Amino acid sequence: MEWSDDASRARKGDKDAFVRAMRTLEVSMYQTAKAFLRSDADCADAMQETVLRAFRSIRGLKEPAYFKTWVIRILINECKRVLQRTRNVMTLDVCYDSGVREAGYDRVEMREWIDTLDESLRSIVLLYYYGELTIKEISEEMDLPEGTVKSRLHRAREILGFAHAGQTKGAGHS
Amino acid sequence: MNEQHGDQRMKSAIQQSTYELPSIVRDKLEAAYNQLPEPERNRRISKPALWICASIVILLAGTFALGFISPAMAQVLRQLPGIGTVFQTLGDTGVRNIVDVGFATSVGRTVEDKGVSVTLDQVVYDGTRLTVGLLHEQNLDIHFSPASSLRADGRFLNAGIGARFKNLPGGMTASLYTFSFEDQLPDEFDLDIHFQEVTAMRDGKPTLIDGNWWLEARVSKIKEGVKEKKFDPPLIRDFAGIRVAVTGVTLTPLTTEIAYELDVPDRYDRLSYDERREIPIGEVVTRNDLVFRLWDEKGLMLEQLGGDGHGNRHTSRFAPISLDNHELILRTAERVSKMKNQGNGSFVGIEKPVVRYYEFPNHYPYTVSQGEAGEITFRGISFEDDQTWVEYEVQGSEPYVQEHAWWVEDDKGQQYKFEHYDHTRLQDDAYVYKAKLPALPRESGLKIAVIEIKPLKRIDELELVIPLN
Repeated sequence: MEWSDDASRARKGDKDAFVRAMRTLEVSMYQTAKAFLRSDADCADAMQETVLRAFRSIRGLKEPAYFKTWVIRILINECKRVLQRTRNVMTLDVCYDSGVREAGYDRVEMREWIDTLDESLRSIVLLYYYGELTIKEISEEMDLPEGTVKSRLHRAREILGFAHAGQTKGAGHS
Repeated sequence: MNEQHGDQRMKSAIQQSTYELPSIVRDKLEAAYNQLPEPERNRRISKPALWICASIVILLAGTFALGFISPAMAQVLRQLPGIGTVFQTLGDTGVRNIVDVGFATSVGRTVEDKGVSVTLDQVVYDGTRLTVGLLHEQNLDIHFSPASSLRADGRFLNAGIGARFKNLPGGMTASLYTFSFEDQLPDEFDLDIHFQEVTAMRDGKPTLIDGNWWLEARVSKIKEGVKEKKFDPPLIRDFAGIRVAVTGVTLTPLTTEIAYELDVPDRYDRLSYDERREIPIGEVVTRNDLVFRLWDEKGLMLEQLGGDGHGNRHTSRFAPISLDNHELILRTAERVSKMKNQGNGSFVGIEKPVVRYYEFPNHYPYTVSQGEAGEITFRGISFEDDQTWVEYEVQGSEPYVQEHAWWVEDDKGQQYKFEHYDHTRLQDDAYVYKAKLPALPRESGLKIAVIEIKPLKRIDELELVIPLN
């Protein structure tokens, strides 16, 4: 785990190490935030808050190996705060910037595939693969039975074409 | 097997996919990284470099033997009878005025960690200061470092801090914190107060408790009843090496604030730590301070509430005034104090106050002298079983010193005094007050004790009229 050493140094007060460790988690954090929040502005707020809170509390991290899990936990709480705050507010900015397509390649980014999923499946995929939450943790966060989480995960893999051996999604999609 | 295989392939595909964060996310993250403060050991509370007006009052809570806070007590804290009253209980003239005109924001949000509950009761911001009212268990010492614990829209703030406390019935304490900033805050912002350490009484002993307490509130700057005026070039007065340059005045329902630059001769400089250490124990040094006071156009002195200084730039805050005023008068006075080195890093004044005793009034009005500064007139005293109410007026050149420089004393030497926030000003156009004293024994041995006050030496050449229109 590339961030583990940096997390260990960060615990001792090394700010640069903390920033390096956080940078390796940025995409995972963003995708996890997307499981809860529609707008990029809200995701940005939640992620910014997470960086600051994590820095304040890094000395309390008992095991550097759990750094990612710990940060994602903080992020999820921040996402919930944002949801709470914006509950009664109409968000006009719901545009999603769907990531960069590599020049010269006609390949659909995985993230774009995930975006095509129904929201109930998309959130679970994001939390499982980007947030690296366990089935149990996802069921607690989303208040769903574990069986439901498993079946939705399976369904998502089917749609994305990863449930069956030998099949790959190549360039383009229908 | 299919499931595991599908899972692995999915993970592999995700790892191989490239992704760039949206720019709004990237920008916010970079801002967060740039804002991270230096590690704990290098961080200091930001303090004014030169503070001339010693006017921030910090009152420590009394000591009571309170045991642990049970969950039931934590529940009580959430239904506090004190909720919505911190400002009225502890606020200065400006803060109480804010409550009266309805500008205080009631938050009423409680956070709890490690058995310690803290409630953010009220908050108000007018551009000159941010005042926050908290409620919590008695004898709780919140370890505040404004540089690390206060944020506006996620940005850490360096702030001057003042605090006062009062124990309430039911085992709680009201705390009032005033923060002042060098930079302007936005008109609206998310306030975030975070602290990670408190000292609380547990089993009768002060106990350090580590935790995480986050208090949040949406803050809107007061905009009604506000007037700001900048002076460019500044309004300047020069005399005897002292240069006062008023650069601005701000009037709000909470505060009257004067911003000025001050250049002074060396004799007004505070001794540095190294210089203090070189002074022999027992030696007396002379300290010269400049005191800035403000009068309204009717000749009434405004109550001073606080001030800050950074380098030669200063702000002084006073009680609010009506926007009908056309001008204010800034007057400079000098305080000369003889201070003795106690040898433990502190210096104490050597001039003992002169106390005069007068017969307890049996008719009203009853006037007694307060020395060269003026006099105090007692208008009426009301005896109750558990308290005594005294109505009085002060007249003279130091009204805000005179008004609390008295007490009642019995023939055994027992003193009966009122607490600073247990008195109320009754009139805006005169220094008339009503104070609550403890219940007085109804016997003939009672006396009025009064401190004789010498007025500060005014430097008339530095008097400055500040036009408000």
